[in-house]
Amino acid sequence: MEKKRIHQDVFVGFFCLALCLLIYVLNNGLPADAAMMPKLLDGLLVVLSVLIIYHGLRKSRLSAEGQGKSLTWDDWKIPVITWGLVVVYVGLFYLIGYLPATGIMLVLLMRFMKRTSWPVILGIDVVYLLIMYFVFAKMLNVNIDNLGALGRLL
Amino acid sequence: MKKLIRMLLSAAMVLSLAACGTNTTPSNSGGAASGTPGNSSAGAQTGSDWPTKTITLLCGYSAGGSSDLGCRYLAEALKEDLGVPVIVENVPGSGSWLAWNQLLQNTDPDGYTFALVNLSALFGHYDETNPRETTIDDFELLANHVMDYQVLAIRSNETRFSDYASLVEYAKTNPLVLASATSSITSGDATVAKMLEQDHGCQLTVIPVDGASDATTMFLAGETDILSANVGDVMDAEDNGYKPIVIFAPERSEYLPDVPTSKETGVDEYVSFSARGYAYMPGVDPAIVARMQEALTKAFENEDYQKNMSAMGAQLELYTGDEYKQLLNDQLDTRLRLWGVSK
Amino acid sequence: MLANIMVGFQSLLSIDVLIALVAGTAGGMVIGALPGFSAAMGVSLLIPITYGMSPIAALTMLTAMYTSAIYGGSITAILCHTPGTPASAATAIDGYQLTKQGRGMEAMGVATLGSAVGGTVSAIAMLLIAPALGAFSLKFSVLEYFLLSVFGLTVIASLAGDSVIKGLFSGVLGLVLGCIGLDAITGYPRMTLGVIQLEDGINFVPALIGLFSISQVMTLAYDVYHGKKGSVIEDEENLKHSRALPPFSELKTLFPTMARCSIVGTVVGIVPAAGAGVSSWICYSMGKRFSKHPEKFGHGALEGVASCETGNNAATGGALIPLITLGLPGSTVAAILLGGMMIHGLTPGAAMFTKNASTTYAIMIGFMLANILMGMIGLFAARYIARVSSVPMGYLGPVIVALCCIGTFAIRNNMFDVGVMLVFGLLGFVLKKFGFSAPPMILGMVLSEICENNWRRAVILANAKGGMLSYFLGRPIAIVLALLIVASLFSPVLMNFVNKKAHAIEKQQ
Repeated sequence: MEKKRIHQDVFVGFFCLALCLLIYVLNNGLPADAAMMPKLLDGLLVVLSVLIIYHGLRKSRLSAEGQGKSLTWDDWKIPVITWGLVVVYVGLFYLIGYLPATGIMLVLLMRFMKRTSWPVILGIDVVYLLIMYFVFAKMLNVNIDNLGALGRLL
Repeated sequence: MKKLIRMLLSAAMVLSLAACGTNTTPSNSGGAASGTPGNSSAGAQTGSDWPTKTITLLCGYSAGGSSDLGCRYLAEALKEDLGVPVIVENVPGSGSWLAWNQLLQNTDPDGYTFALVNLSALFGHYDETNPRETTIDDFELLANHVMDYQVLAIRSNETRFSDYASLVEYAKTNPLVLASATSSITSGDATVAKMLEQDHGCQLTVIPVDGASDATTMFLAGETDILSANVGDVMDAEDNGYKPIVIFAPERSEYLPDVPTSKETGVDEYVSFSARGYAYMPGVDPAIVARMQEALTKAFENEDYQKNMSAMGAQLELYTGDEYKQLLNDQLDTRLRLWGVSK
Repeated sequence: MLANIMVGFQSLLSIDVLIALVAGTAGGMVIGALPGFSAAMGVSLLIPITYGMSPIAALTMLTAMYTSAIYGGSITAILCHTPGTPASAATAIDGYQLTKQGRGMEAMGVATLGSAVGGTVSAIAMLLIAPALGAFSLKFSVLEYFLLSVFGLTVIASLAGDSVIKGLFSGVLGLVLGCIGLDAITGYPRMTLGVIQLEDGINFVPALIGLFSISQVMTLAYDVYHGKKGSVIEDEENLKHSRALPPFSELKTLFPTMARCSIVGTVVGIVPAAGAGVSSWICYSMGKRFSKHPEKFGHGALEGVASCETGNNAATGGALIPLITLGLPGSTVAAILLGGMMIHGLTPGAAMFTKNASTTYAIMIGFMLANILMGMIGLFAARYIARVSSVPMGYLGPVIVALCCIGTFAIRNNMFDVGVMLVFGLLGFVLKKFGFSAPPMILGMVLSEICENNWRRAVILANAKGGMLSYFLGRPIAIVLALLIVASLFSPVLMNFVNKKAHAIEKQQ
């Protein structure tokens, strides 16, 4: 019994086409000279998107095994959570400043990535913060603590 | 145990940065000493006890450029008079507009932050392709320090023309090519070309390039016929095989004593320059503004500052208050006329 | 000149200059090696510190920092797939594959040797014939910049990974992303959505850091949760038995690559529009075309590592040549260096070889020594640094994230760039999951501006000078570059043909 389904590349291809439309719209109001290159490239992208869809459709005709593994939520969950943590971390810069945010993030992310030894985690955390503070804030004058109230206290 | 060693190793990469840092510390005598806030008396700041903490100078150009150097020299000189550290913060991007937006929109008008301003702040509003909302009236202008006049240069081995008059005459019938960073009203270089077209009927093609050094490259390579630049750009002209033929200034420059002004050549009386000064955002206590203007005037007269600035080829001219505004508005009117833009 | 070189040597032999040399080299290696820290960031942070030094010490330190940061970028590119500078993005392709095969140390050895050779060759070229090479750089203009970038773009198809179409798509998308910002010719904002931060375009260093480093941390987090050991290499035993350099028989085959890339890299560096980043891609593509085993590229070819690493360091010396002789910076970092020279009263130009000759030669010799020193430190330390690849990702990943954020912020003191990095981090991961490879996108972004703007400038210029054809035919270098492009586009077809012929002849015999 062969189960057939539409290969994911077909959807990817249509998403690419949507992207092409967006690029076209963004460049539409510009004078011809300025818009020429982006529109030319956009045309190329359209051709490539159609090719992606075409190949996706051809792969759809193959049996489920022939298509290879399709992506599931399980493939995305952990990486996306990781990314979300990083975004929250960067958001914290505004609230509490780089150094405190980093102190918290390092511990959380290490725990998240299944590290268990507290001495090592805290050791890396403290050493990192000290180095960053002395090298960047004191020596190189990078304004790392001008964001956020707590950052100013450091 | 083994694990611990590995951990240390991973930290070692980070550590060695600190180690190399320590080596360089003794030589860190640059202008940007880190902020040791003075006796920070909290509460309302009035003009009388200002300043009490570190002052930040926003520079819209990256470290190492001539604008940045000027800022750092000024920071040194200001520190002597104001008695608090002055640090330069580089916020490069969008032709300094990132820095100006930060100043005008995201900074408290407490007098502890000011910025470098140049003519782009003046003309940005009138740029047809990418107009800015901000005009020069949105700044609280403090003082102008540097004037950099426009010049035209030709290669030393040029045979078609030899001076400004013959160049203008030649270009009336023979199209010439020159390069300029951006081809709009914001660029002094392009405006000189526009002037030649509008006032003399010359035929010119302007090739927009990324910066002054790119324009020089194309000129030296023989790709373009003439070079429109500032005095500061052509200090080493002789060494590199070209020579300035006219300076668009009321008087000759001390750096180019042999180059005649446009008036001396008898062709026209055009004056064009780029100017660098300093400004606050609106809303700063008038007493603080007055104190800052005084400090900038004193810094201007500082001997070390004068020496450092002239080593860079910067022509120093001080304008403050209404004089400063007048200077900018005159230049604005000239350029608006040439580009046919209404105010 | 010999006398000048001797005097130059003497002025180098003072304690502050030597300290500056060592600190610049070591500091550069570390800055380059840290994920998220780029050569441009290192040099621009160092500039204010050097304001107070003697000219020779300051410039020696800055140039040493420049070349060794470009080299340092290869270390983490190879070991963790997190290149810090665009110049080492090409290194990551093959280097990381080698690390996964347990040959990370050899890859680092080759990268070190290549970098040192490339850097030293360019330094020698600078020392001996800088003025002549400076004049040569003027032979390149807008049309040549355009052709050079097109030549760089021909490599896209070969970087594509599994799917050529998807690889091309991400390359072209990179070109489109490179169009974002104020159009350099007309001044109109393109695709900026009214965001002033986008007017200068998407800064490709944060984009690169996102595409490679952040998405790499995401991938490794996945691995941690799916039963893998959670460090880059699975089998530690491999690491213990590996060596700092490949066996001489294999190393020998790399010498022609290094020699070729030293020269090509130096020339590309001299061209005022191109820098180490462009050079590394061009050398990588040349390496592939000249290789006897082009199929190995992308799957762990030492030749790939050798070619781009030699090429990018050779370009550092190359970029210094027009800077010193004419005051024309060939790359972002060189532009920052120009400021460093000005503040010490060194006006680039002919005076550098007459009035200031002793200073100039001291700086050039310092640069050469920095490259040699860098090679020695690199080879010595490779054994220890390579261990990084066996550190559990759970520890390394978070530190990489923190470093990327501060490194990206410090380039321009700009939080927007950190946002760009985050967006590209997610994008990089999504692309990887759907089979689009990231290197073509970076290549597209690096070359987009050079390619488009210079083409349009060339058109304006040619129109003013009587048409493109006659303009083109009057420029020998442009013709050579055009021929190279045609040859590289058709070489796969041609090689195929030749191979078949050879087979046929063999069979006949």
